[in-house]
Amino acid sequence: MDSLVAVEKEIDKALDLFENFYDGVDQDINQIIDHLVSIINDLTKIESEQTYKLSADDSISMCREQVRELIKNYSDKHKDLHANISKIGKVIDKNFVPDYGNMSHLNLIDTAEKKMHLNQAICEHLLRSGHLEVCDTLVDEAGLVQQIDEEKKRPFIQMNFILSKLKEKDVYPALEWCQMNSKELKAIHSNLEFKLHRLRFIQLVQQGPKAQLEVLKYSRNFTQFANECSKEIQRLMGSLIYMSSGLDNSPYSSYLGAELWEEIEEEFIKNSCKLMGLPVECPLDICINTGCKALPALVNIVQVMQQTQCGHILSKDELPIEIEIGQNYRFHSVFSCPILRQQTTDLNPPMRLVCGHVISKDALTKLNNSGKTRIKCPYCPVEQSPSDAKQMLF
Amino acid sequence: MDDLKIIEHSTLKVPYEHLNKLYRNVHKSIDRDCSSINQSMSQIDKLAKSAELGQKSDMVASLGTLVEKLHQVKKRSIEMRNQEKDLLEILKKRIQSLKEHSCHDLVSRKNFFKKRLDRVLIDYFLRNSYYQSAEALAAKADLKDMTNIDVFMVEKEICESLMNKETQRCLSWCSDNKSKLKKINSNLEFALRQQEFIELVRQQKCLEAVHHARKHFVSLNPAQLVDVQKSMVLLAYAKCSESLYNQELLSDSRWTHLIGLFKQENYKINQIPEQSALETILQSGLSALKTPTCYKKVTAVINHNCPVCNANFNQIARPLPFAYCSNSKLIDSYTGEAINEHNQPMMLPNGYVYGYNSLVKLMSENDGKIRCPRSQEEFEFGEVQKVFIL
Repeated sequence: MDSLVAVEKEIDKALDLFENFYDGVDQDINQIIDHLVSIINDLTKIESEQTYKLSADDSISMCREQVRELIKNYSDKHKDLHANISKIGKVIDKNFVPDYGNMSHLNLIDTAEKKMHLNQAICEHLLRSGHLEVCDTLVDEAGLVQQIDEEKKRPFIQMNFILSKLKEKDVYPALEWCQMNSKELKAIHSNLEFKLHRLRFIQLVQQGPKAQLEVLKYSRNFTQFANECSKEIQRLMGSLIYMSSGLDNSPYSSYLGAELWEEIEEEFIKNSCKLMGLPVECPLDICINTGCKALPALVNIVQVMQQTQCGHILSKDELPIEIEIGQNYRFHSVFSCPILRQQTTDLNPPMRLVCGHVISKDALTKLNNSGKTRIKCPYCPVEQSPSDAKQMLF
Repeated sequence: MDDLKIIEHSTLKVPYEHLNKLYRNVHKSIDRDCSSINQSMSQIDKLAKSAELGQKSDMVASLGTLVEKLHQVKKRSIEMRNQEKDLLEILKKRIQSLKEHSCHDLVSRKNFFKKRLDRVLIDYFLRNSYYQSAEALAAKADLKDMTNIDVFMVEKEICESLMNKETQRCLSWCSDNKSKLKKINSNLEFALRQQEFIELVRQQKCLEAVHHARKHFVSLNPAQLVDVQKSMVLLAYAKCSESLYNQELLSDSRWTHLIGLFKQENYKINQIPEQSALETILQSGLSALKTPTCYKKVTAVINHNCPVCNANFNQIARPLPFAYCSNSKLIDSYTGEAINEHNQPMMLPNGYVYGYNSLVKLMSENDGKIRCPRSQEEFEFGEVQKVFIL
């Protein structure tokens, strides 16, 4: 943020200076033009040789001064502006690093097949985010007609129509979709439909007392959710009290924010993707968000490692540091052996010792190296036979 | 260090370079205008010195020309003012938009992430010559001022001319950017001239080729001299097209090489990174997400929300390193919840591990007995064992 402000300051400065400079030039030129025009007028009137001589010499010498001044100012002052321009460049370079901070690169997309995969992933992202025409263009340009066919696009067309209606704050197409897919939605414990009804209900309440009858009638839609959402329904019905005074200054003002609509759009996308058997969140989105989070830490480590010359960080088996990606983006269990500090695999699975502590099989084998029949748990006093350890699966 | 600092350098630096170039051109134009005014003035001066009434009409005409000139200068200065202002405003607009990155409200921040991805995609499209897709997305997402489409559109035209084996456009681009190319020791202009020479020989215009060489192959560095000598041999071998030596020099792949070289120099002088942002971000993102389970090194329930398991990214991520994980991070395979001190890990007699919350749920769904979702075996709660993860 500070870096942005620093650059912006220089830009604002430059904008001011440029404005002043050109205003000045404009004024100077106008003055000279006026002056010249009046000289021309004067000269045309003069008939005698004598006066012409005097007047020409006089007025022209004045004019010469003005023009000289203008030329000097115009060119020199513009030259002075360069200091500011180059300052902008310097401040950018000081606050931002070029070439992604010399991050190591792997030629990630080195085959036509990988390129096709990446383009396909981009197409799916475009479809999910409603850029259907852009997707069509890319399919054309990247030659993906076989991979992204009409069949694949169809469900997204409906999804995007409903989304565009939600953006206009119209819940009905979404509700219709919920009713069409009610069985499937129930199976995934979705409460999208209730949330849609809730938004519509609040919309009606906002219309004030004249919509009273309609609100009452609409509230019957809540009966089907009586079991799961009774608390929330009670709360919603309470809003009727504030119908005439308006919800803005009531305890219900939190229902009026744009976030609820934003949330419902996301929830709708998640639900419909789930029903289509697609990942709940767009894979490309996840990769890019995680990548942007990971980059600063990785660039830091690259810079440190450059001094120690440990080589290319992407050519190793594991990244050199742990990247905090957040619970939402953890998709698989990772068991890291507390003794060997290695992630376990099927070849080296986690083993539960009799006492409940878990170590990797390799670690267990090492503990048993001396060929003793009994070993002691590294974390508690319990002694046991290595063969009593049980392989686990997360 | 934050991600803005690492990713957005070119977002600001490219329009800055643009501005700097424009500024220099404007300055040249101002100097031209000034000297032209000066010229008129000295003409008027001459007439004023002699000051003969007979030359009055000449004088009036000269003064009129000067007024006319000044009007033009004024008009041009307004144009230049607008051009310089526009670029400064674009820079300002980009800054404003980047500020959303650290906005407090979630909606704008999400909006920023979305727009950032679109920008990264547009950059990727442009680098891969998907120009229409780039323009379509920029129009749809209203990002024209936020991306460096213009630079790539110039590149597109020049690449197309090179593909048609024409050097003219690229050469005039070289002379446009002469000082910058010199600064980075560019070999591009020489390579173009060399190619022109080869083409002349190909057309059997040997004499013209010699003239061309004399004109353009001056002040060469040692590496270039070797190249010239190699090319000059063509003159001797001109008639035997099947010699291997000729095939190398006469090969069409030299044009592809020229296109590559031009693109590389174009990126350099415009301060565009050589690697696309998409690939750079993708490689760190995929690495940070990559676990042994994604490559079937661990048997586990398939989680198709994982991007690395996704068919498209699985292959792309294969050469990348796995994420480093110093402490175990466990996820309940049934509910997707985290397994931790609030949801303790429990092992069924068959070795499968679930979180405590899952077991409660499984029991409530199956009359107090636990049916393992993976093996379908049934167990009593009493058979379940606690697990301690360190």
